[in-house]
Amino acid sequence: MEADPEGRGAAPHLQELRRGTVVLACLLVLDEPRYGYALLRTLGDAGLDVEANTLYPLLRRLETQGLLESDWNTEESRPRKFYRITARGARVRDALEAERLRLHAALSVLSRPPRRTED
Amino acid sequence: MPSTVTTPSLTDAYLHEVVRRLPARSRADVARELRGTLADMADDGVARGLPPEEAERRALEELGDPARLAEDYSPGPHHLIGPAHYHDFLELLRVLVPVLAGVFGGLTLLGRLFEEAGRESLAGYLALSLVPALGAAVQGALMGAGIAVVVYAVVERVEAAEAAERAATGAPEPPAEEPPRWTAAQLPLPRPERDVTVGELVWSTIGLGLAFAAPFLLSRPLVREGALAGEPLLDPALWAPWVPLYLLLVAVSWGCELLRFFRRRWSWGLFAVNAAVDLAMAALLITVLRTESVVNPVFRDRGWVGQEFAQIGVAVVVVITVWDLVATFLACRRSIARRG
Repeated sequence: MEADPEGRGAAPHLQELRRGTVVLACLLVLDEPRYGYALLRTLGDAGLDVEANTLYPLLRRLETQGLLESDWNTEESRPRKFYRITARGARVRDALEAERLRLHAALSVLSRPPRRTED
Repeated sequence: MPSTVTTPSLTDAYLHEVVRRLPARSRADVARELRGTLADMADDGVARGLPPEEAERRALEELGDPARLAEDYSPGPHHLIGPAHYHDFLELLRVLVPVLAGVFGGLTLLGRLFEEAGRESLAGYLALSLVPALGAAVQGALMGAGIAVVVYAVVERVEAAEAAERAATGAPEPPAEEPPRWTAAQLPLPRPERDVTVGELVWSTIGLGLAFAAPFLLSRPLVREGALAGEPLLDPALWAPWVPLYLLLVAVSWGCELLRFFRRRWSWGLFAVNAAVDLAMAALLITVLRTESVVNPVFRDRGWVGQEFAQIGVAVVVVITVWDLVATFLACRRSIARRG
């Protein structure tokens, strides 16, 4: 957990705000099949710090819901489970992405103009 | 010979702790995936210069408490009864607990009163009848609570399983996954408010239970020593046709109370039935008082009970019957008026 730069009390709200974005992030990058740890690093490199113990159960839930499908790759020394988005997952991804853009636009209208430096 | 060590590693122990909490069919798959992940994470640690054991330990700690991880994996509710059913559960509890406690306690009391009837001391007789009855009532209450919990815990899980099934088979369009929109037409008709409370049922059950027990209690020897030893207060001759009839009427009255409780309120039909049972009981008691001795003739001969006993008894029966008829009539009228 990173420090709470905006003062006390922000942490739970930040967590709440990020919660739904992990699903969208996974769906966005899983056009290409990836295994869990590679996905974790991809997300981390992009600046989304997702915990491993959040990601793995989530991947499995998305698979149960039919948004992802998986295949075991046993050719390499270490067997790995590769996840890939399904057609249904792609539809959900598009809906989520549209909603994210809409929310971003709506919140931009509401947010105050950047505060001027104090005189 | 493979070079792997035979003692289970930390990773083995960790994976065991996770998958033993998961449904059997997903265990192998989850364990295999997590094992690969932990190995990748440990490799990263080693690449950063950590000793292998330390890297493994850190990887495990990053995944965190196995119980928490398993909980994140397992579908289905992690609560016994959720908010969707909590209220219905409480309502079932409020009915089942007193009713089963009453039925168990009442039946046991009856059984014991018959079985222990030969006992000498009244205190011993009452204790031997009441204590098991109390125990049975507690058992009945616990059983009622248990049934309510099991029923709604099962409902909760069946619904979760159905939801998972729906998600897995997959409705063609995502919006179709949403539950159908709630409309006002789904509102259940308001149930009539309860005019007949649980308290009323409990008190009338206690009262009628005492009335039921009375002939048994009065048939016990009144004194133990002297010329009257072993003689009951109640005329033993009364048992032949009268007492069973009386017991039948008490049982029918209790049936009326139960019926009224489950109907939740009075109706003129119920009032009529209640009045008929009242009048039948009054007729029975008055007939008995006027034609039979009621009190054991042994006591009558000693002058313990005078001629006025029957008149007082008839007067008491008339007063109680009239009072009950008026009270139930008023309660019934009030209940019906409130309905509007």
